[in-house]
Amino acid sequence: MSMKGDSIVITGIGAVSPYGVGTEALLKALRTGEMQRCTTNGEAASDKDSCELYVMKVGAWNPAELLGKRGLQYLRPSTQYLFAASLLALQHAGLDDPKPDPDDIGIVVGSNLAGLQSITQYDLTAVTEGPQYVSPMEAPNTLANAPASHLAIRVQARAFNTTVASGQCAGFDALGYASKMLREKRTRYVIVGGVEELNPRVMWVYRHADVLPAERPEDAGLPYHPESTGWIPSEGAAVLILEQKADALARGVRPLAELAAWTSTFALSKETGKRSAALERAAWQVLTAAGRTPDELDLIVSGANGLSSQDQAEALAFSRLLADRPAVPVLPVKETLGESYGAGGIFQTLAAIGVLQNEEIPPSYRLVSDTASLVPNREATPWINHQTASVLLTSQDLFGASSAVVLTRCGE
Amino acid sequence: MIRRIAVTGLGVLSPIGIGHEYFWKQLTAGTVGTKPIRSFDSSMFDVHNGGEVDNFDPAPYFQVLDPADCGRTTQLAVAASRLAVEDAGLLGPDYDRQRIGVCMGTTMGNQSIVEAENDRHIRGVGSLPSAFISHYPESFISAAVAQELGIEGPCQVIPTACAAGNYAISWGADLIRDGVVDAAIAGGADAMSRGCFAVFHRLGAIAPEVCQPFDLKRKGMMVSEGAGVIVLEDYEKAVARGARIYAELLGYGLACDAYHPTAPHPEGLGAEGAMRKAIADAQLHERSFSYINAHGTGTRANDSSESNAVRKVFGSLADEIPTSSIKSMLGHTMGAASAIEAVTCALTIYHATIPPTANFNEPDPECLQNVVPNQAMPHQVDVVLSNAFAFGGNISTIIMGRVS
Repeated sequence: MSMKGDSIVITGIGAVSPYGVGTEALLKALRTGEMQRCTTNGEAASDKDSCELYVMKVGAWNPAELLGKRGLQYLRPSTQYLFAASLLALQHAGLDDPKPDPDDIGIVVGSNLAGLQSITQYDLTAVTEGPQYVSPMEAPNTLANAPASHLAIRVQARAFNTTVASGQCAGFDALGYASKMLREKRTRYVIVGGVEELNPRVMWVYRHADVLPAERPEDAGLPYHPESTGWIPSEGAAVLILEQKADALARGVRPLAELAAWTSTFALSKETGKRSAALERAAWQVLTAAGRTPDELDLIVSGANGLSSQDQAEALAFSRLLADRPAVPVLPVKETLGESYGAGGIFQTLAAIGVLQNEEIPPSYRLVSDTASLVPNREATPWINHQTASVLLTSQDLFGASSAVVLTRCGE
Repeated sequence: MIRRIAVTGLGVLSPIGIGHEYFWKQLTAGTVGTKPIRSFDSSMFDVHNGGEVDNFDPAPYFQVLDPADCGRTTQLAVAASRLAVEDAGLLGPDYDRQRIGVCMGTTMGNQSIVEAENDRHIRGVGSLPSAFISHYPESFISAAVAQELGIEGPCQVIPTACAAGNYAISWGADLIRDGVVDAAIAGGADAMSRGCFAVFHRLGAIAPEVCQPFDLKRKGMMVSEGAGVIVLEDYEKAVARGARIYAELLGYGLACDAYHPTAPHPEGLGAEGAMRKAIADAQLHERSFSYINAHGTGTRANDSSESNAVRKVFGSLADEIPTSSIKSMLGHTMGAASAIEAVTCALTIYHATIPPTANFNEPDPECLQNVVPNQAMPHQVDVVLSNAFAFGGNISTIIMGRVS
């Protein structure tokens, strides 16, 4: 999906992540390689044998500081993460005071498992204790779109309220959705979020999906490494504010980046060759839609997460896409941020914006010429903000979808 | 040039039947499909009726995956999708499969997997198969449809609760309008869920016997299951391949009340906004409408809120335009509801007949008055508007029109 004709730009960012509230520490961690992982402490509730795992959790934080105390006890952690990240992003975009007309704000959130813990407990309580023992206040939290719905009430956003659940592609698909809403002038601003939380039920799904280490948990989360043992699951919320470039400039805001294009494809088979072909097709499509070629790429912010099957498919796709330019840096941000599933795509986008803003590419990976191997380059490299500077962002879902977006620097 | 969108295929599984031809026959006969629930023990609840898809065997609809590895919502979505694409003759040589997308809506997703696990936990028996549990995420619903039908374009699930079907249809239309795909398999699915029943039961929203939308003595909604899928195609391409076109999707509107997590805005703020936007998107006038397919859940709050919104948008025409709620017969099929209602809208146009609001006895002055009570009405339908409301005040309205 090309954005030609109406430039769609990002004007605000916010996050709640294992690195804390806000984006600064998170972007710094990407540069320094600091990793905020901890062990599960029994949270890997599962009826399968499992070893102790590493996860990346939003640690101690005080949501009341940002959100106030009222009603917080009725909100799941995922909703609180999304609230806080959204308020920060709106503030960053200069939309906190004065607030826009509610009919001018839409919401689209990538999220897959936000309601799982609540609905599991709701059903269990109803069956084991009786239906009178479930709480009506918990009822809205049982749904996958609970974070987005609560957010609309909190920030008064009435243009639309959409949740996208396309696994690891949800964040980029939310960006594609938001851009369409803006180009059709169905809204003036879009809060685009990605959010997930870690809890016993989420870990139960991950465990049975065979994405977590069965052994050697210390070797999880190593992108493109053949010995990597799986994901390091993560949680949090990342939020971007999107609007038309002309609107941003008219209100005196300097855009952080331009969303040039989005696309998505599907692979019919789990076989690595098919998955890589679908991802490569998504990459070509999105570059074409953005009016770019692989020769014009400056960086790939990839979705590699340490699950070998996914990472191999990605590496194979990049080896074909970059056959003539193997030196293009590849930044697998999940090495630092963990795999936050539906939130991952927006966290990837935050990382790309960090590169554009800081004019430095954190330590990244590069293809070994004529192979599908990527090796780390532990030195940060300068980012040159030239006229056609472009970042390709890619993701693959466990079930076969691949999505991609292109971000560019925002010309004056 | 804005691409026009044709509706060329219909698939439905519902409490009143499977397949759009039988469904339509039942619908226009006013058949009520809600009855005592059989898929779980309802004895703990104060009410016991709901709508289930009887005699559904997923096996004939699956050729690639093992249906035993899929939640019932995924099974229903695959079945409805296969029915719709076969009805449309979509998978012939006319389209590159990479140029077809899948957009599914759902409220509860693959909740049957969670409930099976809770049952297992209570009984203290061994583990469920990993293949089954790993297919819980909602993205598997569209992925399963794509795998079964060999689709290689964009695949998304939009879990925007009870408005999800219309949200998914709208997104499918946008993908065609933008030239990303030539066709989209769009709709919604939800299986009967004990947890969902517990939610609505706790909110005191479930009717004890039947659903009576817009009736003065309405007592609530009914939790149901089902799936509805429509095939959307680039109109010119559909015409070029000689497809049967049931209707044209003329536009849509989205809005959000931003008012309450579970209750609709009493004045229908979001609903009014969604309808106005849809009418503007379709470039129509309020006088153009032949029929309103209401969200009409049968709760006091929903039906009065929706009536208020329709009256604000349509003025004096609101009580003249024929309006009906098929939830009176099906119950509320959650994320499938507006998708099944989209199937209904297409058939309404195609057969020039408006399905009734069943179980209707006494008008409520607070509600719309021309509700096609109890008997289907022969009526040429040129343009139809269909509303879908959800928890969180999330609203989606679509408009379909007759192809002349």
